[in-house]
Amino acid sequence: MITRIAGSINSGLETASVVLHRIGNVVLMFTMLLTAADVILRLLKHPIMGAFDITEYMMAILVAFGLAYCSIKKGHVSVDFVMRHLPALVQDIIGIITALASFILVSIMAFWSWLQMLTQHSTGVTSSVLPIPQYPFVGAVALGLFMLALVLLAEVIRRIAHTIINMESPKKVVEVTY
Amino acid sequence: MEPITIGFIGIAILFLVLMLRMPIGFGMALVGFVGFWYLANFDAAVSMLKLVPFRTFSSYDLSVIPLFVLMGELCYFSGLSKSLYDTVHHWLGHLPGGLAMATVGACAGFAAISGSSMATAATMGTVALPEMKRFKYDNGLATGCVAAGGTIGILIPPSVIMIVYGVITEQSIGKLFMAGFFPGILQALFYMTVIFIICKRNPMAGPRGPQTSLREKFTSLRETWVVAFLFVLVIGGIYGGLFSPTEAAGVGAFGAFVFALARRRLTWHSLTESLSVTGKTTAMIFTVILGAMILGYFLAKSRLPFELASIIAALPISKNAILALILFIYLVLGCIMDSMAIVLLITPIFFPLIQQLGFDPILFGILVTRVTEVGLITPPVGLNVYVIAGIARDVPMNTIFKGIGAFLIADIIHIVLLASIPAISLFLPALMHR
Repeated sequence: MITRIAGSINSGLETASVVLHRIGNVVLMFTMLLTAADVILRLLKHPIMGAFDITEYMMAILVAFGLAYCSIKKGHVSVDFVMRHLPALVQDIIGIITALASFILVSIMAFWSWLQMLTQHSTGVTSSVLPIPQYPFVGAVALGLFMLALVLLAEVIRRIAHTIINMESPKKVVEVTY
Repeated sequence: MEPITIGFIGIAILFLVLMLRMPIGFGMALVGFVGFWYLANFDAAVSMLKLVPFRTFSSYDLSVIPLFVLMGELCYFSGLSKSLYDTVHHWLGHLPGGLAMATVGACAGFAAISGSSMATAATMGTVALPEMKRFKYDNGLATGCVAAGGTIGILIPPSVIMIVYGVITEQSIGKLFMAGFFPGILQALFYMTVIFIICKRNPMAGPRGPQTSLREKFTSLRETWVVAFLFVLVIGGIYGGLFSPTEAAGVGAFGAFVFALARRRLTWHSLTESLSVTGKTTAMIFTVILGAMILGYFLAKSRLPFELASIIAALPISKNAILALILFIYLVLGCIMDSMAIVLLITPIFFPLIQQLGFDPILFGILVTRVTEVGLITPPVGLNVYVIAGIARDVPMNTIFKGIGAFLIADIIHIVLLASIPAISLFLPALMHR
């Protein structure tokens, strides 16, 4: 039951993460073209106004929108050489705790980034050269963190399911995947 | 409890958390947040937490990272790494151990357009290992030279580790890039010497490849001039003050894109793959940087780096011994952790001490970059070795580690040389535009 629920949550999350990731890829392509165009036009004495500001904003989207996808693809680096020597059950339980701690931390960051966006919306903070409002990009960071938090929550559920199944049939170690 | 004691406890807990396989970025952020909360208060910790993610992700200085990663990926997906290997193969393949030397040479060439050791090892492993197998190279030499050769990737600019070091220590990324150039070339020459010696002692370890004509040699350059072009464009542009590192990275990525398009090597699939891999790598790198930034607030609040600097500087040992000790710590950590994470984790702790002792921060950056890379080819967590083991599935891990042994000796001599003769690194940055 828990495996099925986790499976359907996970596939929905994967789709959403891939969509954000692809938006990030488009933003990356745009940033590359913008930077190159700015340099070339500057040599012709016509630099792009606010290229600096736009690059910063694009970076915020690129990074934030890649976080959840990176987590789904197990791209975040960790140290493995101690844990792999521990018994499977201990690894499972520690895995649940670390995933839960990561989820709580990222949720706090997402929540406070969201509040920061609301504050910036009401105070009207803009970039320095071009008066582009900052709040949508802080919002993008909050959204990226929020997606990452959901992926981490799904990971907690997956790990719990994995542990329960393996505890019920300890002789046959099962890896829960979707 | 004194803040410095809390700082020490925080670092101890951090290492424990990291050993429990918590992703490095999350671990650093967690300890940084809780530690800062303990030393200040919840409101201050939350204020920090709501500002740092956006500030880190939107940092203009750090935007150089995805653009350089993209440049390397575009070159990789457009098959430039294969052309590069073929070229060096044409020039050096006929020598004893020539294919292994060609691998090291191609690694150095790929390093000029890529900022990552593992990417260099993976790329060159795929291209060079089957070729060396065809010519019946000793498995240890073949896999060892690719794994070790990959580490040149981080010293020859552009380099992700140097960018990260430059940002956290507020040093010029351009100067760091320039400072890495000669040490990187020297490292490649050291590795080639190792291969030469191995093959002189045992000619069967690296049989000669086929002799090629001068015409073939020059024809092979037709496919690889773009590497030299991109390197001169990017690094020359920074050196001459024509553009900032971020602009150089943007121009370099654009140059690689145009080249791949013009040579009809860029398919829709290779473009989307380049962008996708870059996006994922960027997210991974920035998660670690975010964690380090949050941890940095905690460390600063605990005053651990500054107190530690005062305590160690007052010890009755020479400053060179202290430097050696610090580099040894980097080396040991490099054996168990990702090199960028180490730089982000302990550089803020030791950097005030390095400044207090009067070492050049640029030189220290080069030494740190070089030392942490050794960890990529040493047990237990030699990531380059795992990469190569994944490609050469028929070669046992032990054989690869044995093959690396001779290169490790060269590494130690190389590091001692760089530390003893700072001019090798600092000569080029000193000539840069002022």
